[in-house]
Amino acid sequence: MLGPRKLALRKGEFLVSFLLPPRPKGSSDAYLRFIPRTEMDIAVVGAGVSLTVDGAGTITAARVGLGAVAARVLLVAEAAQAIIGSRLDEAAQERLSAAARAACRPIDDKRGTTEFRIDVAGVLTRRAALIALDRARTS
Amino acid sequence: MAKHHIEATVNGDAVEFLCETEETLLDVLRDTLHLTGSKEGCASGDCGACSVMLNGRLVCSCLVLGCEVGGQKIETIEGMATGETLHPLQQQFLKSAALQCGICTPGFLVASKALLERMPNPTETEVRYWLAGNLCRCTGYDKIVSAVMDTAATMRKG
Amino acid sequence: MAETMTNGSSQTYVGTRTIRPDGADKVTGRARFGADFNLPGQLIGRVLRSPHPHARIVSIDTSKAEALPGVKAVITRADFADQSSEFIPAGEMMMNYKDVVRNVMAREKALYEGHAVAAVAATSAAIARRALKLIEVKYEVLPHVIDVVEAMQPNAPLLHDDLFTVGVEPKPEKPSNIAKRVEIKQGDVEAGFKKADLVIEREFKTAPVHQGYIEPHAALASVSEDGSTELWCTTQGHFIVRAHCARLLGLDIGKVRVTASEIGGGFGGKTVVYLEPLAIALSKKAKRPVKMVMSREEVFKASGPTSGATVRVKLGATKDGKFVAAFAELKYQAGAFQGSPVQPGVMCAFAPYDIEHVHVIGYDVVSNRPKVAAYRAPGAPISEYAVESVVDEIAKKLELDPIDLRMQNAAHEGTKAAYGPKFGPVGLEETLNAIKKTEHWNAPLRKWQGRGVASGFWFNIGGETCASLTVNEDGTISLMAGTPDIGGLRASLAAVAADELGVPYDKVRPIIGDTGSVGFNFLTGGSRSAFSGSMAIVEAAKQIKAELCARACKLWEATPDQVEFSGGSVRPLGALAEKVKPMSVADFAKVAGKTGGPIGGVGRINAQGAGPSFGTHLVDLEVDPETGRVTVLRYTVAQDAGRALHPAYVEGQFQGGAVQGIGWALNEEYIYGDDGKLQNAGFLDYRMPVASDVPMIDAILVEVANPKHPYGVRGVGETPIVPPLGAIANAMESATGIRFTELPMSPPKVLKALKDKGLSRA
Repeated sequence: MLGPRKLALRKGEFLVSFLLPPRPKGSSDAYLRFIPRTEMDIAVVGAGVSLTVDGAGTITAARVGLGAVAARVLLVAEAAQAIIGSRLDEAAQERLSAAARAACRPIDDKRGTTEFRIDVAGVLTRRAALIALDRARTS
Repeated sequence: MAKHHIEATVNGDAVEFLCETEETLLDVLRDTLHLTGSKEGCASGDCGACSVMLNGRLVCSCLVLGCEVGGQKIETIEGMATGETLHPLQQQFLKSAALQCGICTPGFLVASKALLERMPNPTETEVRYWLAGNLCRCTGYDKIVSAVMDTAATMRKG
Repeated sequence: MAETMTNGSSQTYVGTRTIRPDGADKVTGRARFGADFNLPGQLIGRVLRSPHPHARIVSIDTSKAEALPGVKAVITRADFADQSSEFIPAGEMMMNYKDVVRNVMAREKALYEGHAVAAVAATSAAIARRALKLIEVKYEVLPHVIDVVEAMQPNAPLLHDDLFTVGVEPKPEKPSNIAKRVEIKQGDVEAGFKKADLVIEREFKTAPVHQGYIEPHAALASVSEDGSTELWCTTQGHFIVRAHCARLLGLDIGKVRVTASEIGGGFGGKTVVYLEPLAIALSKKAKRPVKMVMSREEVFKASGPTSGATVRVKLGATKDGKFVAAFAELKYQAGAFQGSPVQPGVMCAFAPYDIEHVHVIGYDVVSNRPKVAAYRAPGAPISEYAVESVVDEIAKKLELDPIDLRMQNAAHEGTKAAYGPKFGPVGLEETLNAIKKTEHWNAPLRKWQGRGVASGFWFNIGGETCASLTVNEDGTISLMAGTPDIGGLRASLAAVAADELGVPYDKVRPIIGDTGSVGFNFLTGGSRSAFSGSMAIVEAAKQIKAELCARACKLWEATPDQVEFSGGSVRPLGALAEKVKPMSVADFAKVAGKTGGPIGGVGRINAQGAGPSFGTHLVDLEVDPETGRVTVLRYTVAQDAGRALHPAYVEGQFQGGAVQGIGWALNEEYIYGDDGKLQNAGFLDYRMPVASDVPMIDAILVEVANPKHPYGVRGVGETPIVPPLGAIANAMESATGIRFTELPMSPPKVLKALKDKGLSRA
């Protein structure tokens, strides 16, 4: 995706498959989206976190994606870096949220203000990471 | 532009119709097949008043094209009762006063039937989230949710 | 329970949960709503709408559209005669025919984005759409104004150069966007405020919200060569539609026959005409039936929402909690033409309370938005949101229980409302007590959860009503009413008729007659249809009972004192009882022809004595401090119905109004860009509550009989939307410590307020 309604496909090209490598043991993910109601709304912010933990509970790998906060979905390397090597303690969570917020370049529209999207991106990323970690520990 | 010639099954009956490319299944049901039980509330898939079953799947017929349904099985509100016997959901909606103006009722009944066929014992939360795609402005949803849960209990008793 | 009962009626069905007679059709898809009618040979009509919020219409060239094959008629302002200024009631609001003709079809100017500029009728919707694109309109775009306070400024863009503020002295020489100033006064508020130990003054802001009926406007007109017109439309008042169409098109009322379809929601928004005059004008030109249905986008852009407003409230109380003085200033948007519900807003603002000194001022202000239409208790939710918020603040500052504070000041029988009348028996205190007794009131709350309570009021109306009862040859009863049934009316009236005549409920067949079949009825609105309709049915039944007694006297050679109607039969009294047996309604039906002819009664009344309905709402909610998202956890309504003819449908009114209020308080609003164009003209971004957004709404039926109605009935439909805004705002304050003075309390606003107070870690 290059931007709203803009794809990197050339004329005559189709997407035919997605290849998802199997994840190592101790991996999981979570996706949270913010909507003002409980259903039937377009996401104001979407945050996805995928991570792997080792036996000691330390995060050894992570990917953080954010939706609806830029012209296209963002894969935020700095946010992932913020938690790799940590056990997602308070300080790591703060670094994660800050990195997520810093990556946002949202528009101001009828679904959310710029400030709101940035704030909520930070909140959802942290919450998604905590859920992913919980799932990864029990996977 | 020539119209498309489509053959499909609606409420168990074989039907045949012509439609323009841009006509939705809802347009075809209402204007060509004269089945006006499915309603247009928004034409954008946001209100569920046009809910029908397409090959056993709950869809908004305003988001399906008429020319897409060739060879497929469609079930609308008109097919819900069996002869003179109302479906338990239809009966319970009346008993529970789960409708006021009634415009959203066909959509809710089709959606609720689909829910109970998958989940015979839903919780209140599951009922509410399943029916979140059906807007009602009159009832505040309270009696609709009660009616669905009461019907589920009735149907479980057999 | 009501003490007043009618003579000789049994109470078998009234007050019970009967199955509605129109039910089977509604659950099978058979019931015919506005867009479900079709006529052979019909054309499809569509409307060309202004893309500009404010523009002079310099010229309209329809020639290319008229030339398109398949187009059978095109209309513009040229097809409607101008109307002189004349105010008429539109539901519970007023409108002016000069404005109505301009709203259904723009004349000199387009005054809002979506304003109708032309219309076509063609052999298919596709051709009609193509024809619209061929109509050439030359606009001179003008600066626009959409905010009410901006519109009141002396240098604001002017919508009407012949609009001079009414209600100010001296009479203004320059036109403005302020159509009217209204005022009510009681006592001396300045003196009153001096006596107060605590005075709270706050300003509040609300945005326009739409009634949100799921069924768009629809009409099908067929005009014959002799000028007689048939119209099917979805409306709350087919007699009103008839009157407006006859007036706008210069037709005899008697030549227009309007049939009301089943109606898919109205809430006040279908008490006015939009498509109907256009469909008739097109049909007349095309000489074929013309069907017109609005899209959802058109409903939002071109049918009336309710006003957005700015409201300032000042309330003074003694330290013991007695309200001594109350002042409010209301500025309501009317949209493109005058006629916001500021008057009822002014009347209702402080009506729940017995206050010695009251002064309320209201301004009706036009702006470049669609003309507002009534929305369930028009005007009152806005003013009472402001007042109930301030009452709550007073309770908190004086450390008084919010229910006790309201109880101490509650209007009761004998209270003189600041807007004029003295209340008869009313049920506000009963609803406050009912809420206080609930388990809900005492249930524990956790952090970030809050509880709010608010009361509300609507005065309700009566009005012109005709309804008939006919006894068929087999003893069944045909009931004809004339107010469209928006949610249980037929069930309620059938129960009344069954009890009055002592016949089984399922032997009464109610229909809503068209304008040619039943006498004049004012519209369904003002919470009047069950109140007035039942009164008229009681009257009709009285006539039948008197007629049957008279026939019995003839048959039995008896005098009137020897017979009486009770339990469904004329009964012989005293010695006569040994000679003859009672005769039921069905017995008389069998011999009707031989005993005088067809049996029936018609109630033709101007129903008076509508009793106000008070309600109190209690809501628990939870705020997510990191996102500002609000979850409604629990909701209880207690409202006075006087006498619930059908408890389930009365509960339904409570629940539906409460949820509309939840939407209004938390997420619904018209969002405009600086370009004056509506950005959320659809259900995706105009966010009404969905099933998962709300909990069960507990409904407590309070019954303080209205002595002016034979069964004690009060209208109930409107009051339920009045308390929710205040109750939810009060619950938000309880949860966050922040008083929200702007609606909706949507997540971005809530989060910002929390952050500003340092309460959020977002």
